[in-house]
Amino acid sequence: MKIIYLLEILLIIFLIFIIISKNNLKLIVFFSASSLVSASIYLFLDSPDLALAEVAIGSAIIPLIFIIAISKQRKFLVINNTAFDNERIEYCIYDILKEFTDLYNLKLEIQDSEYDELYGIFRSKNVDLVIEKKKDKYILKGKKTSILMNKLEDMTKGKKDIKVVKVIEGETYD
Amino acid sequence: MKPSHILASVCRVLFPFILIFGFYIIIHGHLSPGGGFQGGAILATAFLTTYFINFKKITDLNFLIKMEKIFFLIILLIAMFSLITKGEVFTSFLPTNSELKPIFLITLNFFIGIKVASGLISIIATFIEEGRN
Repeated sequence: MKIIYLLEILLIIFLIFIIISKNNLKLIVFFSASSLVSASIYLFLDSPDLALAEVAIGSAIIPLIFIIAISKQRKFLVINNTAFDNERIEYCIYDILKEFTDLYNLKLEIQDSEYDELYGIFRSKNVDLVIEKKKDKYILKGKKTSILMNKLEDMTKGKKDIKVVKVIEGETYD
Repeated sequence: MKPSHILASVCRVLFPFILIFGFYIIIHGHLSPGGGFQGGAILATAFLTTYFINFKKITDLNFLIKMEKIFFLIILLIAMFSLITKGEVFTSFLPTNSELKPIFLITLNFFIGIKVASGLISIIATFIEEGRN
């Protein structure tokens, strides 16, 4: 049996692990390993140039960028857009948010409504959640791309006066 | 984010060897596999290990970005230099049948390598520095 068939089978196994796994750090390690295997496949297919680039970029630089991006999320910023101040909101929503952020080891931070006018990467604050109130109903607005929002939607399913809305965030609004 | 002592020590040992390997691939690029881009990527990984040794290593980010632009202009100037000697762009400015033939490739590979390395370092340094208070 040629060694290249073995490497291809190994690559398929690593890629299936990447799709299945739920833990982000494990996923990055599997990504790095799969790019090492694909670099050795490139070497056996007579393209050592491409193998060098794949080793340097695919197995060192891209996983490092992913690790930095994961370790950035340390706090959960909530903008309070209702008419009440921060003391009043404590009765209804604060307990849910506190339980939610304790689950993920995040630091909860609630601020009054002061939106930045800039959007995209130039915005100084990265807002995770916006609380609004309409006719005795609290509306929690969050990004659709965030994985945390699915969990928050599950947790607030039983409550009748709370509704979770997922917003698609574009690059710019103009 | 504070790395362990074992990781810092291993990175201190590995740093000069990765640096030498990157420069070898850049300078030997016209004979062996590799070249400017691959060697530059390896140089960038060498400099990124300094983040494990000393976390506040890269401070002057604007200098890196400025250096990348200057090196890009230098690459274009070297490629345009054959317009004076031969009358056409993007070829070697020396006569190709002499022994001085690889000098053009070596200089171009060297500047491309340093440009790629500074670009990748500035990308990842921007990722690390953003949002840090």
